[in-house]
Amino acid sequence: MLPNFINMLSGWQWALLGLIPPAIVALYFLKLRREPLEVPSTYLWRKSIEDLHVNSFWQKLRKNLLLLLQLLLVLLVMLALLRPSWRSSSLVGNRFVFLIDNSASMSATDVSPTRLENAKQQVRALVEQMASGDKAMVISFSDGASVVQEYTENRRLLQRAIDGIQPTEHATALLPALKLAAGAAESSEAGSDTNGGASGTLYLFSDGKFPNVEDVVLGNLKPVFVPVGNDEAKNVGIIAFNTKRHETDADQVQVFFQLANSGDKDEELDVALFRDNQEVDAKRVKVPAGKTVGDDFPPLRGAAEGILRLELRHKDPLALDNKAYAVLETPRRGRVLFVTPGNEPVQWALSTLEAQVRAELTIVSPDALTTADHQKAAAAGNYDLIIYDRCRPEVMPQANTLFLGRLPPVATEVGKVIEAAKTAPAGEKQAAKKLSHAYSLWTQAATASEVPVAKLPQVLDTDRNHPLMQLVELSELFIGSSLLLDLPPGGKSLLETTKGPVAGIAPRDGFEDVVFGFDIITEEGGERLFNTDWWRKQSFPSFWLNVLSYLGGGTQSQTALSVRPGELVRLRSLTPVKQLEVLMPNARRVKVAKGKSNDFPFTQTDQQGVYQFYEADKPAGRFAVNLFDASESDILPRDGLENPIQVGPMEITSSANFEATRQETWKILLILALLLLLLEWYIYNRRVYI
Amino acid sequence: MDQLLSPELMHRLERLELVSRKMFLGRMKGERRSKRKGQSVEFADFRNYTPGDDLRFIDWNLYARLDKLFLKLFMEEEDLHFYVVLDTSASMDFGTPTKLEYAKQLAAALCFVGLVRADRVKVETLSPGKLPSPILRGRRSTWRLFEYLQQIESSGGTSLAEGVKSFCVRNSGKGIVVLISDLMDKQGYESALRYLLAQQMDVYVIHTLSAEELDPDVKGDLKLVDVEDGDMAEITASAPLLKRYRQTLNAFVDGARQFCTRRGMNYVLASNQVPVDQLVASYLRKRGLVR
Repeated sequence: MLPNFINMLSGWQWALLGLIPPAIVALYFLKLRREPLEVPSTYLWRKSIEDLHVNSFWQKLRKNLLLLLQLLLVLLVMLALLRPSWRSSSLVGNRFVFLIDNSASMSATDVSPTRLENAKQQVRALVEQMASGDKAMVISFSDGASVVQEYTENRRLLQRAIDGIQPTEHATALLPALKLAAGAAESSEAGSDTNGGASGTLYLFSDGKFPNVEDVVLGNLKPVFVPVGNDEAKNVGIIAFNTKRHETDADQVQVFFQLANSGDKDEELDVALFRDNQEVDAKRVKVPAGKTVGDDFPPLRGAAEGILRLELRHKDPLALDNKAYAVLETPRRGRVLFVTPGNEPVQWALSTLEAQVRAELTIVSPDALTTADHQKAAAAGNYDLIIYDRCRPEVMPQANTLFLGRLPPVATEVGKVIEAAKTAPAGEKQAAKKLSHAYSLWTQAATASEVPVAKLPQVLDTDRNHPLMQLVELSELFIGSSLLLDLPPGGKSLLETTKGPVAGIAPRDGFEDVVFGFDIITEEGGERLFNTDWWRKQSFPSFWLNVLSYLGGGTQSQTALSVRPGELVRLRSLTPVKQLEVLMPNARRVKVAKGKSNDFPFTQTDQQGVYQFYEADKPAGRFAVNLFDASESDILPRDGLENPIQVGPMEITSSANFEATRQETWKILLILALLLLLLEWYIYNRRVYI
Repeated sequence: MDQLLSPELMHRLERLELVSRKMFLGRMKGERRSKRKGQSVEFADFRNYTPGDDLRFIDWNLYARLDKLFLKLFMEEEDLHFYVVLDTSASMDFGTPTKLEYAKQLAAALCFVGLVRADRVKVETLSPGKLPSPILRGRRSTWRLFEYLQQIESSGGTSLAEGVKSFCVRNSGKGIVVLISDLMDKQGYESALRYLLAQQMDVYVIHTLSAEELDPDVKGDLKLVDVEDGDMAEITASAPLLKRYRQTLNAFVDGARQFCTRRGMNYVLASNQVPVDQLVASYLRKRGLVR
């Protein structure tokens, strides 16, 4: 066949089309032929005809009726050829991916009933428009994405899947959704398109409250952004809610909050503070248009423990950000173990009044490291922080650690690493083996003696932003000798010198390890010498207070843990238990099993509110989940035209009515023409009278 | 050879007799009372004797009384001259049964009645046929009647007037004449009927039309071809046209009826769907043709 010919009809359709001209010709001949009929006499007939010809208009019309029908037929065919059509927001293409945003901002009620429902309705309407043979997929996304319905032609399944999309209180991120869409589309359409990759149209229903994304290849998916939401939407939301205990008077708690007004009008509204569901304070706050305003309440008294709730008395489309929760807890002292052969400066620093407020200190000598009791306690997480001075354990404990002058061993359990080495995949066996026999993650050296040592390093800089180094000024610090550190993955340098980093912090399975390559006190030839003059500086006690605050595990800030909806929370137990029970804000109870790193990972933080967890039926702690997302509270939908979504190098522009496609009517016209033809044929053959 | 008349019909027809309103003069003794006074048993009237009359008819009783010679006049039982004129134009060869067939049946029935009553029956056709039309008398001639009737075929060409004129010329006697025709002649039927009138016969016009003519069932675009002269009329059959046709037909029939009744002729409209016996027994009886 002609290679460039686009065949729009199948074989039988061509055959049908081919029958039409002969039909017309047949009709034409039918018309011309007058059947001769013998009559005894045309005498009377002639008389009748004469009479008739004189009067009837209808007769003329009837004679011409068939002419009229022919004209109508030709007119219809001409119209059909002109392809009249009207604009409609209809689907283009045969493969569709519908991305529906069900984040917190989509619960706004500026379009009724909610933005999410509106988006769902639009998608449902599109699904109805699907022709047979079209496939579609539905993905819902907030800060993560999930495929609600795989590629299917079954419209009922699609509708059901769409109905089942529930609003969440999560923030919005587009990247996982796009990746999922591109990946799922590819996997479903493997081999179907000779151009490679999935082809089709990606419809993104969202209010656009997410940053532009990089690094996504959409392949042949053509993205269309459909903004959902009214651009007249005004919203005031809580984006921060904090408490701070008074420095000296432990009984007083100061409450801070921040409000953001995303509308174009200045708002003045009432903010109410509740403690344990009783209103304790209220304030009138003015928030100018488009601005964020921070304010506080007068200090609360007698607020040792309790649940604080902040409410905005303001009707706005998004109600999710009009409430915030905070949990007040009695400060808990951290449990700190100091393993040292003797280090008075540090001991003194750790025993100040301030330090005692923060943590409970236990001092042992390095010999204790080998005792079974200690090892059990360390493995059970009985301590929040273990400080190793000139010693190191065999196995890392279930606690934060701080090393002075030594490098930490490789893993929490040596046995585990060897096991891992044995079961590592072939290519990685070597690496795993090497790792299992490595001296430390903090150095390339294989043994302690090979670790590079720097003599008299000059301090260049500290990481002043890190909480540990707050108010710690070390520019003139004298260091005798220090091990040079090789920061492990995820590690940050705390103290940079001319020879390299000598102090760093790195995460390890939910804990953090701080390593100082230099001792405070060294032993050389039986004599105890100071390796550094830090102990004489003002920053020394501050540093140790920071250590206790940051690593010590005590809850100094009054606000217990607050996470965003959907975030993982690692719960810690005070005693070694196998599982914790969590009471969610909707009164459901969920059991949480112990995770790998001796904490209890809890993921069902989808709802805003206060969660309480129990250890063996005793309340063990609380935490709050709050939205606190400025971009979700700013519910003004993204104007897809002026501010198109950047996906890698591509821009997704929105179109107000999708692609204005031509809804073709020529097919209808031709069918009408065919019907007309049949009608004519009928009139003739049945000799219908008019 | 189809029977023109069924035996039952013939049986029924035997009991009928043809009636003429006018008393006619026949030349032979039939069963009629004729005004012509002649030799018969029934005494009718007297006449003065003139020399040369038959002496046998002198009424001697009357001479004895009046001393004058009178002749006795008797009612002669005359036979009726009964003519059936069949229109054998091509237009009669139409319909189911054809009008000609119907006419033949009708002729057969009427002639049979006449034959049974010893009337003089003659069947004529407008255009001369193969056989000469015989004069028939008596029951024994029935087969000859049927034979003649059956060989009659339609042939075109002769107009009504022409045919009737030639009939009148050939048959100048008086009697009953029954014209069985569809009167479909482009030149009109009036002149033909006037010829008949001039004969001073008792004229019966049986206007035979086929059902297709009375109620045509035509559809669509047709070219109507006249069987007699080949004239073609193109029509597009529609309800108004048919209505118009019926109106025209009714006007035609009424016109013929009026023409006839004004001139003292009897007119009967017969559709070829009406069975012959019904026509004869009821309609014609009403009209007074049969009794």
